[in-house]
Amino acid sequence: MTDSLPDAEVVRLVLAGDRESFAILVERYQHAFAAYAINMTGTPDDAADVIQESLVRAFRFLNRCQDPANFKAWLFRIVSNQCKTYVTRGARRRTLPLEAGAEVTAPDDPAHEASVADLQRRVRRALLDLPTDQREALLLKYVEGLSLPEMAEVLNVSVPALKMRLLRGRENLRDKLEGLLAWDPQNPVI
Amino acid sequence: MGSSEPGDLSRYLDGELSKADLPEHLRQEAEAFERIIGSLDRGPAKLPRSVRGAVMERVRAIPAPWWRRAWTWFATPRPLRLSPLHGTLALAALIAVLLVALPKPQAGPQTSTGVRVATRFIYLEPNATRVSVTGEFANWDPAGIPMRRGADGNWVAEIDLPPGLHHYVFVVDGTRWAPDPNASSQVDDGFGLKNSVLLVTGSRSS
Repeated sequence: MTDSLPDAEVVRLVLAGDRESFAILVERYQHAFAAYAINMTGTPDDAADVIQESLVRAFRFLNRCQDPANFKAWLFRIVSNQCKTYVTRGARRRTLPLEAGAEVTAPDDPAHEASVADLQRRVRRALLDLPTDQREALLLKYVEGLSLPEMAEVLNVSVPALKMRLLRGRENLRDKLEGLLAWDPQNPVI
Repeated sequence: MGSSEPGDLSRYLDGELSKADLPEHLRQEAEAFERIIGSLDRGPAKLPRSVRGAVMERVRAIPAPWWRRAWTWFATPRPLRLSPLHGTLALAALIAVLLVALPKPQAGPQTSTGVRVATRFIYLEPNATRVSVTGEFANWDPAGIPMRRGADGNWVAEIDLPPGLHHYVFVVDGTRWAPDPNASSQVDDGFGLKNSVLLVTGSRSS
């Protein structure tokens, strides 16, 4: 089964002219960065557009993938760049809320209002209000689980600069979510 | 500008300190932050739709490189029906073309595809064991066009290029892609690095 081929072998096949084999990589990775793209762009549909664009770009420039065995990491760099491009070009679309009425305020009655989904919606909304570089850093570190050196490689930024982005991002997020920081979803009753 | 986040908390959240090393009040702050940011982990793990069909449709629409199309054309067996008359004419035409073309290998920068300008690429990297230059003119092949080493640590290559804008980078030791520090401009390559930009005009460039 070609679907079990390692990434490096699939890349080799595609570069040799078998472009249909690229579908293996699409199938393998189209959902891998969904959560990251959704959190960066703000909506699942926009995330799908970004992932689609990233995969097409990966195909066009596949011969620039220097380490085909590490195709996933290379693709993630493209997704990350495409998310930033999307956010920069499509800033006007950010005026559309993730969900209508999702305001970033502390719930009046946590026992009734504060579900995990509600918390998630508020945090996403707050993230969308952060500067792109801070949002990107927070997502890579705390959602994707990358280490600082891994982030530095993906973003082509020094570790000290990343630490500063993370610090500013955390502080901004705290400011926007001040009322939620004291709230425990495991024990929502005040 | 000062920070309101205590240093130990920053170090923990940067992954440089274990939670056990935090005092109790900072541990609670750390857990509060992790709870908030951790809620995003429960986000949808899948896109709302498969993009496979759309991606592959666009992939199929991208033209293959000219050399691959040419090779496919040449390598594909096809029946050839030729009358003796046409065969003789074709052979005569081929011989005529060879007679005209072969004596003029040093015809200068004019080629059948138009003007090409001898362009010199120079990159200073005394510690490299090999350096090549790649770009659109080399189909972004990582192997690129090998450069020769000069006595002063400079690597040099001369390539005939058509006039116009060319994007390029140097590939150091086969792994590191480096833009030209002496290029007049750089552009994002879409992968987090920079491509250098060269404008080739009608005369020799470097």
